[in-house]
Amino acid sequence: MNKKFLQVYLLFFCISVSLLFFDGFTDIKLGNKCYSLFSTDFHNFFSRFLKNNDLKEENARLLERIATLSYEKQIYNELKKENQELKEIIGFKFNYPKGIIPAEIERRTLEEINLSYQIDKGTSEGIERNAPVISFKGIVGKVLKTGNNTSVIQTLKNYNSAISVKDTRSGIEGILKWNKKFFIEGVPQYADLRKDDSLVTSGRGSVFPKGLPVGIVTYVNKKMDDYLLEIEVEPFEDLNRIDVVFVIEK
Amino acid sequence: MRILALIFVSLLAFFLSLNIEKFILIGNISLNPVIILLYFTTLYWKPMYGLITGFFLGFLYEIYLPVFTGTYPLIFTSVAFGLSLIEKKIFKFIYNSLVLLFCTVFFVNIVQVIIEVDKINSVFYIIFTHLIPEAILNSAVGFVILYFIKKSQ
Repeated sequence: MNKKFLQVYLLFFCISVSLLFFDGFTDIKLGNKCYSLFSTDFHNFFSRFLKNNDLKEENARLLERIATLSYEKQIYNELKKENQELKEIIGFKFNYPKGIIPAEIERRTLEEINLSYQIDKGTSEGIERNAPVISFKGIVGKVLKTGNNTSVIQTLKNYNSAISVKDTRSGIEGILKWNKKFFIEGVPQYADLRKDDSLVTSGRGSVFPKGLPVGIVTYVNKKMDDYLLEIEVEPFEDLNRIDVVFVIEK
Repeated sequence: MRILALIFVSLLAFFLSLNIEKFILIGNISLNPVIILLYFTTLYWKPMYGLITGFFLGFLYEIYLPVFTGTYPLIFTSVAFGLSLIEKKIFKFIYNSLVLLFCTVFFVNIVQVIIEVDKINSVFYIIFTHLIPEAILNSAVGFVILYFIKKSQ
């Protein structure tokens, strides 16, 4: 036996045995660091590789999907364009208002008959004659006269006022007029019009657009000597109490 | 140059012993590259190299473990010392000498099991299901290495 070899062995043996009794290195963090240095997580490495393959497949699938959707979008745009062109050909135009101009009521006529307002907006703000006027709750009237900075509104409470209205429930149409009270003209007795039905503008005529809220039916009566219904209406808006109106641009 | 090669192979063996279970695991048995390196370095190269390799690899093992006990340097240096004692007494270039590798692997593993397993019944169970198959596997790998050693001579 080589003497040097034996000495080295004894040295290592003593160190190892002393380490057995040495308690200072317990729970050392160095172990974890060395582990992370030498230990490669092969499972994660391969799973990452496999995941990469999955992502490639998913990417290809999504690219295909994008191509399909792009093609469908092109078709959709073509159909939309074609639809607009056809509408123009048959003269179908949407009659939506361009905008709304708020205006304050400066004056109002005192008499109950032929109630009208003077507002603080005129042609300089874009108000035109016969433009419909509404409030927060419903229809008010139309512009009768226009000045540069003022206009006159003819309200519903006018002998000359006549608005085509429609029952939202049954679709029955009639003419709303005023003669000390609001009533509907031209509805036959067989029509299905009931008390508490809501009325909106029907869009007939050139003044009021379709669907503006008008009022509620308060009274329906079938007269024996007439073939038309006697219908009374209460407008949604109290025309004697409003201060602000909105003029719809035509 | 040889020393550098030994350091490189030692680190490689240590790296493999930490990771080998993650990609080579037959049933619940795996290779032990550190023991194989220790065996062949001590018997077929220089006992002193085996002793030093055993001590430092044991030390690295201890660092890797969460609790530093000093067991592995003792086991590995003792194994190297024991192998060096019988180095001259056996015919190490015949395949029968691999019985010694079998015994070495078995010894190291049983010491590990005794340290880690408390119940003696479990130790007997592990001997037949784990330790003997693992010793056979390591001997088989040793057979291949010995074949190349013999061929190179």
